[in-house]
Amino acid sequence: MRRLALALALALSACTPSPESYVGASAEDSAAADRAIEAGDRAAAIERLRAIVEREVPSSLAEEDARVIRQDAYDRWARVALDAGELDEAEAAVGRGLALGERDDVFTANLLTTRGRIHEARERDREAARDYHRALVIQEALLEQALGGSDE
Amino acid sequence: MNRAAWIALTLAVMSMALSACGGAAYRDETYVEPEREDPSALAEEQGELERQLSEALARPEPDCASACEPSARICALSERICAIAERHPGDGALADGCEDANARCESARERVAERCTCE
Repeated sequence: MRRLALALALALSACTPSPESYVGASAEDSAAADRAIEAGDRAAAIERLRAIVEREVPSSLAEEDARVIRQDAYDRWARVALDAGELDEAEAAVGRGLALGERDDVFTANLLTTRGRIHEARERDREAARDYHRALVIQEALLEQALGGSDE
Repeated sequence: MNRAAWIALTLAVMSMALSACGGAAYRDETYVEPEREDPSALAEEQGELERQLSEALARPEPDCASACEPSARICALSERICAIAERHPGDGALADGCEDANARCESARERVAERCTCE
């Protein structure tokens, strides 16, 4: 019985991805998505970006690291869809990205900017201006940090 | 995320994994710094270090590589906001938003130009 329990524990630990392999596989998908976008292969790009957001997140990976990896993928997915005129798909991707949590960082600013572009494409100009303004304020905070005014 | 960001993230995750494995920093505890014999030289050195510290604290070095991008994005967003305002000439709130965004763009440009050179 103890041997069975040990074998099960080993099998389970082998199935759980390590943080290093998660980040490595996500980086690989991200680079492949870049190449697909450059080649104009929208479907392949989205497939790779979807793989990033659907990959099981290791429990030992810092929550914020997982968030930024997935938000970056959602934002790029949304932009690929937006550029192809797939507004529903773009809006869904950006919504899922923002649902992971909004922070004063470049990932949230990017998602807000992309959502602003989607609003514009749907002729919702006031909503677009609001999102652009929120993204702008985040970029100001990032600038402040870079210039040494704050390390928050 | 660009390649550099992915590398940084991978290194951060790997270093966390290493520290979790119980890796300890090497420290030679047998070495003892020999005492200086001239107190006035030590006092002078201390004064100089204090002056350097005060300067460093008063004027933190800007991270220009990280400052140029937000500055450019602030101005790009400002352009988008103002393009929307132009499409709605009678909308005071949008006009105010454009004016505010333009001011922020100018301020960002000036602040970065004072301390960094962006491409």
